This record gives sequence, structure tokens and C-alpha cells, in this order.
Amino acid sequence: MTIENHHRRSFVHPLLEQAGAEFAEIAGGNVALNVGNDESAAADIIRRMGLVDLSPLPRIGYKGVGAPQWLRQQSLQLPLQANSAVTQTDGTLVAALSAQEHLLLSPYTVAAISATSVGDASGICQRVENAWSLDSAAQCYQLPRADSHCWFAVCGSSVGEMLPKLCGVDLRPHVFADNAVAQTSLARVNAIIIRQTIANTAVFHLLTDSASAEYLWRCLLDAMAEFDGAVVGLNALQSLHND
Amino acid sequence: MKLMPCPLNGLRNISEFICAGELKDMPLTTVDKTVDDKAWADYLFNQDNAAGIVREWWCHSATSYWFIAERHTVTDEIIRTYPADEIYKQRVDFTPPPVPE
Repeated sequence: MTIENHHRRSFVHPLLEQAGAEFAEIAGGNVALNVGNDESAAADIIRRMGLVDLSPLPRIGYKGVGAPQWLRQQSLQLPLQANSAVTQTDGTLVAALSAQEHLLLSPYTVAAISATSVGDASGICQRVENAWSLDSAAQCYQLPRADSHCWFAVCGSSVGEMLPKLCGVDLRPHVFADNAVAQTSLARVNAIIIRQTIANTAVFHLLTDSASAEYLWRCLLDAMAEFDGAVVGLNALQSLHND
Repeated sequence: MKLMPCPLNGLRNISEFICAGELKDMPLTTVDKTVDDKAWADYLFNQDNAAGIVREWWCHSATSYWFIAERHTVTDEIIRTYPADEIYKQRVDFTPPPVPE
């Protein structure tokens, strides 16, 4: 293996390897598709409580007084208020972290991300990244979130009981509805939390400082243990979309 | 648990915030763009430490969001919090003084 064909690895790659993950190259990154379970077992786990690593997938941020205007010029639909998110037609999630800061998370269904590869401008994250130049810096600047933040998703019916062990913010659905965003402390590290519901299953996207990735991964597994939660791969998350 | 109402994020545990001290007016620069050393040192190092309602800079560390809080220093009651742009409407640019020839 040379540096040219070495795909981007997750911040928790060694932990996934230990857990027996099977990797595949998607959008330039080594994504764990299955982690030590057969397909039907993983599909059951994710409906109860599963942890998925999405860190190798593209994501990017924009911040600045003119960020909303610039992103609209790139044909993106933006959330109407801060701390909320909106899904684009291709599945890209755009979260408003403040009136002047936005975070773009690439689609994570296998079909959507397989359709794009790194450098392929058909993916929104890559297209927007290509469109930005230093000339745009007067309006907004680019935040390399794929390097700065890890990206995990915890899913399942018991997640609402597990997360209060780690986080003080009320994340119950009547308070923290779909597409709500909370920027708060999770297991004592700063985190961005975004809620979605896919096929009646709650999905919480968790993004924290990449240097804390292994720490948070272990904290989540520890908190999930009493609910029989387990690590699953991207295929299990994909199975929710097939329902 | 003590809670702080963040103007951006709503009520949050006080442990998510950092207090950065009193809000003070920056000393005015003179026509030749210099500031009196004594006034500048006073601005940087001296605190009023008043008993009563004060205005302070606070930062929500999870978002690096800076805002202003009015707090009673005797009762520790938070009266009001608001975004800094309620006071600072314009960007403050610092032009370096001309290099003496």
C-alpha cells in the first residue's frame, strides 16, 4: 500500500478492527460496513441500540457574516433558525450552528454515497468545497470538519434512555424534535448532537473533537452496555432506510 | 445545578460556560491612533469589582459563542443575557500606528 492508494481512516479505525469490522472504500474513506455481526443480527441491534462510525464520510462547515447568503448561492436549502437542520434532496444534512455558521454532513445511505467518490463534484459537500475560494473569504470561511470532528451515530429505541447518562440537555422527542441541534457537553466533551428519525427509529448524530474520538467511543459503549447496545456497520444503518 | 441562559443555545449547565470578566469600554484612540499608556493599562488589568449588577463577557465553550450577561455580584443572580451585537454593531478594526521615520 502506498500513500496514493491509502484511503482515509476513521479516528476509531483500530477499535473497529479489533471488533472485527469489514471495511469498504466509500467516498475516499475506509468505512466499516459490518462489525462482527451477521446482517439480520445487526439490523435488530440498530433498532434497539447501535453505534455506527460515520467519521470517514465527507463533511464541511462554513462560518462568517455572509455564510448563509453564500450557501444559498450554492443552491442549498438552509434551516430557518439556529440549532436546527434540514435535509437536502440528496440526503445531505445542513445544520445551522448559529445564524452565521453551517455544518454540512454528506448522505450516509450506501446508495447515495456510493454514487459519489472523493473529488467527484456531484456530492454536495465536494461541490461546495470546490466552489469556495479565497475570493469567497470576505463572506465566509471554510471549516475542515472532516479533520476536526469525528462523526458517530447512535440509533435505536433505547437511545433516549442512554443519552441522559452522558448529556444534561433534555433530548426527549417532545422537547428535542427531529432535525433539532444541540451544542453541548457530552461525556464532558463539547459535542454537536443532531436528531433524526428513520423508519420510526431515533438516530442521533454526534460530532466531537476528533482528538476525543476514542474516548467518546468507549464512553458510549460503556453507557450502552446495560441496554445490550453494540457497534454495527453502515449496512445496519442502511437497513433502516429499506424499511 | 446552576443554569445559564445562553442567547444562542438556551438554558445550559453553568459548567459549559467561561466567564471572561467585566465588559469595559475600550479607551478611545487619539487622532494620531495612539492610546494613553495609563488608560490602556487600566483597561487591561484593573477591574471595578463592583457589588451589584455588572455586565460581563461570557463564552459558551461548546460553541465558542461570546455574549454579554448582566449578573448581580452579591446574589449571583443572572439578570439578562444577550448577543454582543446588541452593543457592538460594527467591526472594530485596529490600524497599526505609522512607523516613525
